[in-house]
Amino acid sequence: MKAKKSNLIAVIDIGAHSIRLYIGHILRKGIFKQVENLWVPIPIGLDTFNTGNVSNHTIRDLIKIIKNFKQTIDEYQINTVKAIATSSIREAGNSDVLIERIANTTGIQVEIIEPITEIEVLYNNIKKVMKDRYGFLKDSVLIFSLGGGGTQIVLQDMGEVVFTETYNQGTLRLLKSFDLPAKLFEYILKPLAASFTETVSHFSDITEIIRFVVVNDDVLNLIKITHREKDVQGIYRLTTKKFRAMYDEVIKMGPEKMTAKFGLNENVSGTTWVAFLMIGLFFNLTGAKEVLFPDLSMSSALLNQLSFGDEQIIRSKKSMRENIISAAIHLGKKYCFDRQHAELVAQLSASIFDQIQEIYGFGNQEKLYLEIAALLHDIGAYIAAGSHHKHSYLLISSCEIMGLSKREIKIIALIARYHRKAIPKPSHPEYMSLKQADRITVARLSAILRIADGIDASHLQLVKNVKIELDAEICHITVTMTKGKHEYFDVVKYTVAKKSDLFENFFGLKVEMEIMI
Amino acid sequence: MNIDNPKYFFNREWSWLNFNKRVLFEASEEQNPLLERLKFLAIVSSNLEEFFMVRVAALKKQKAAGSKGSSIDKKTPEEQLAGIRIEVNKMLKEQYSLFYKTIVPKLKEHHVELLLDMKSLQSYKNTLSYFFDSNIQAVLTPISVGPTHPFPKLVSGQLYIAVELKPNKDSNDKIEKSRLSFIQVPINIHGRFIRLEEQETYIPIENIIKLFVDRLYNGYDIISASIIRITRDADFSINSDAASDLLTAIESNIKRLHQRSVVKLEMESDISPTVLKTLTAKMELNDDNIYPLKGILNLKDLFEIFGKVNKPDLKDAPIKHIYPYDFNGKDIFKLIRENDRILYHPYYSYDPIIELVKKAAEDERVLAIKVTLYRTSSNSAVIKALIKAAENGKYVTILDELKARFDEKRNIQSAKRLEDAGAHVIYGIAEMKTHCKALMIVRREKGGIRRYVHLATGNYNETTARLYTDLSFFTSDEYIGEDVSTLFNLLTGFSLPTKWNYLTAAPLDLRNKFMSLITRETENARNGCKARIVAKINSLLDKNLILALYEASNTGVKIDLIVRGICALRPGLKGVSENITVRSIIGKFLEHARIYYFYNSGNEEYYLSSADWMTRNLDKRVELLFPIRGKNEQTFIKKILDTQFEDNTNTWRLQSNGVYEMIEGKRKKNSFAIIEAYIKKLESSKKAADEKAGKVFKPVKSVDKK
Repeated sequence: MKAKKSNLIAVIDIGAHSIRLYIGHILRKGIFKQVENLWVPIPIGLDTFNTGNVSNHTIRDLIKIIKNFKQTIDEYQINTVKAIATSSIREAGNSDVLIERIANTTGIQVEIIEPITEIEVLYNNIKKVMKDRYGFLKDSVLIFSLGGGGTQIVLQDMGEVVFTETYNQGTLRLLKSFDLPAKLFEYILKPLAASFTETVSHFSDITEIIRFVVVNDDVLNLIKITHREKDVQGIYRLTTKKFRAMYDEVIKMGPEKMTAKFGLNENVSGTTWVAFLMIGLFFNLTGAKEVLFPDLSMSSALLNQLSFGDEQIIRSKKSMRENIISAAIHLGKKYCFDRQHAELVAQLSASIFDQIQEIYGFGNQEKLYLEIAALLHDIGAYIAAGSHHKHSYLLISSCEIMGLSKREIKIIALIARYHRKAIPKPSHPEYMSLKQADRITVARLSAILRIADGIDASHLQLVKNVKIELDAEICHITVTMTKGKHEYFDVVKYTVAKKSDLFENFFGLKVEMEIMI
Repeated sequence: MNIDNPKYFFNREWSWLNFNKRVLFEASEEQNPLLERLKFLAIVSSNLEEFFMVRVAALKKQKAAGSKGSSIDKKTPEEQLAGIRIEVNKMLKEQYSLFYKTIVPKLKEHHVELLLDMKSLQSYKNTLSYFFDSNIQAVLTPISVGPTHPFPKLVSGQLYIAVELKPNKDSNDKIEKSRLSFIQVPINIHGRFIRLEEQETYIPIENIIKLFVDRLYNGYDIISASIIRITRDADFSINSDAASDLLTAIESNIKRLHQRSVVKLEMESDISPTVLKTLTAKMELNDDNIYPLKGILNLKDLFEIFGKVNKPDLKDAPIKHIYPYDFNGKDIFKLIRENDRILYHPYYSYDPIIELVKKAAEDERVLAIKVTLYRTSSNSAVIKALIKAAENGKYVTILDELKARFDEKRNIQSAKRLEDAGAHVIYGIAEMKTHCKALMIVRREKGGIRRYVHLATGNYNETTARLYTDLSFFTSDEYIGEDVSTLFNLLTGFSLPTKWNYLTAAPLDLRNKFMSLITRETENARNGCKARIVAKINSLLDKNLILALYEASNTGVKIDLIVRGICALRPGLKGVSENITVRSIIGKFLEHARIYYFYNSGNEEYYLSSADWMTRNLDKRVELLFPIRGKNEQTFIKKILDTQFEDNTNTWRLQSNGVYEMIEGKRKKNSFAIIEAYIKKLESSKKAADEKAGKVFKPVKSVDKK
């Protein structure tokens, strides 16, 4: 039969203890109907977290399951297939071999995704499901995504992302990596809780978290099969009382009895049990009156994103950009940045960028890198004023911002690093470890940042606008000073001249500056 | 009062024997046509045979293992076997007496003659001699027992002539001498009964062989020749955890069937004591396993007479299976899309189901067809259509239950044919029989994927669909479709269950579902509300469910049950089950539909299922329970139930002492006839309405006639 154009999309999600096939029929962008939702438990994470590799036996099982899934995919004549894997395969020493074997035997190419991408995809969908219900857009909300191998949290306030954090601790990892009696788990989890509380304490605007949103396949499944609660437009809402009752029942029962009572798969009862412990623990850290479980999984969330037509894991750009910027500002606050300076430098950088974008063929994403680097370029001063550009590099490269990959964070960190002192050189290993294209990005964006920073070197916000005019040999910069004494003219001119080195070097244009009042 | 007391339950085997007695009663019913009565005699034997192969075999094994057994009324295997022997002997006596003293003479009155004894053959000796020489002798292979010829492995269910021999003066001294020889009676070529030309006269083939048996043994004198037949244990369980090995496991089990232990030996009562002694010694039998019969063996073969005799006036008028009017000339997919449909077979023709599969095989928008096959008929139109679909590039998934008892061989053949056509055949789930009956067609339509579902109480078997009463339900409901898809994903091992919308599946949570449905009525009654349960099933045996029903009865829930076969529940006992009635309907068709009804405070619920209230259905099989939610469909089912409760022609009522009493009434109400008439009227009124409205009427067509 001739294959017709299909509006069906299949997503395969290889998780830590199970693998799922989700097939959706796309009605229109962002709206789809579930056609199939298959899952098979397979403890891949058990291998990875215990031995560092996925065993041959597990790989064979995995391939068998994916073959079955492939058959179902073919049955529906689906062309758009996305297969992703998370921590259990990301951390496996033999992940390349494994992916190659799956591709060879089933024709399915598995893509490994980073934790930050995971939470990004989930977060976008949570927002979509939550809309403005349950104070989601006005209160401080803790979003807790609990997986088998890792946990991601997003703290949101007034609808803006405050910070995201990934803990290398998940239900399966916890269940298997400790050879201790179950009753001690609560204590094992304490450091995790402490680390969270510590992080939150850095954000002085967050006084109390009053909403708690949880994403966890196991608990969601248990709520569904026990019919404990009906969903209201895609959200299962458990009041403190109901959650406590379920929590007590599950914790008391233990995994073995859960297997019998709820007819769960053995592995699943274990992780469900740990999930309750962890959710209970974080719930206690909040002042929330209910636990909200959006009815979504990684696979349905990904499918939703794919319904926008791009096979890459794309971002809903506009809102993601806002999230990234808000997360950057919160990060800046954490390190007590000079917000007014940072924001002005970001604004000036963006303005310069906009004016030369077309000529030099910059991409949109680059503008975002520049703005974030500008916002955070001075945070290293939190550690020490001397060599603060290097400290900024360290702080930025060790943080995570939802919506940005590890590679992107590194680019941003380097742009910030080159905002003063030495310009990029072959003797800088961090810089040289980038691909050439990324090195060019770093170089030309830090060239712009240096000028913008030079304009507000006084940290007094004396300048408002910047105008760029390019001719064959000269870059004319015109700035308008809105306040301050005349004496600052020379200071600004001097610092800009000093910091134009990279720009001149890179773009081959001499920078000349004029100041207007 | 403690209701969990062995004396509140009927013994399973006893109850089953009682059921077979009710079948036997049909053979004695004078108002039944004569050949139908003959057929009931055959059914009794056929039933008994299965009973020995499985139940008696299992009890014997329990006894041998020194087990106390697991009988619901706490009887030991010994007690049960002793009871069975008494009942079976009584039953056989009645059956043979009915056959020889009533049916055979009456048939003769209608010029159908069965020549059953040797004496009656004398006058036809010349004809038979010619027939024997030209048609029978060549296919006979005597198997003699001697020092170098060990005692043969006799095949279960086959007739043998045990010939006692004595070498005579013509005997060749050089060859080995035998004292005993067996001849397997060939019934595959000419059948069991040989019809004399131009007459309705029939002779059992084994008697013809007996008549000329001396022609087979040169050098011997025939001391005696008696017909014998053995039944072997067929209660095997497959121990395999990988479903892919099932095929091999079952095949080898079938191959080994002839080695299994003998549970019953039947023989002509005048058998020579010497021969009998040898047989019992070789087969390790004792008197309990031996059933001497005064007459021909294996009355099951009387089915053949029923088929061969051309006397329509001695048979029930063949039922005219009604083709549902709505389905005429309509796109079946559109029809199901518009409305759920329900059909009651065999009153309704089975053709719509076959047409649905055929249509799906050809429809270019159909992506996949999935079906569970339990017992299919040998030349199944459903399988043919599925093969066609696979050849047309559809994804065909078949869950073929190889373990369906007594049909294993046939199941394997059909499975192999399907596989050759490219279908994806799964041989059941290890340790578990797939008993649910579900068909799903996945179709790509404008609005997306749509699933067309057929759920039934009966197997996809056109032959039994003409004889068994079963309900067929068609729907395109999205949520039921999702559930059925979940079921197939579960059966194929592609997924574990996620969430069920409307369906309940065993062995997952069907037991809990039934329990909670019963308990809900109990609670309602306890709160002083009206509460009622109606169930029409084949068997009721599960202790926990019975206890729940007793409790319901005690709180005042009115419970009315129609249980065709085994019923371990003891109705009408004060303080235990006084609000429970149990009926059994035995008649023209085999009652096979499972219907469950719960009053639910006026928000009445109707369910259909593949499952009975037996432990094996709830714990050891894959079964489905599905609700019927449409008002029209509910009314239809209610009509069936109401009609059956009013029946006073085919209904037995179980008394609290265990006796089944025939319900009688002045005005005869025959539910079979009433339902048939009701459905006929229903369909013709639909047609009339259409004609009145001036819609084009298309002639009824049926698959067979095409």
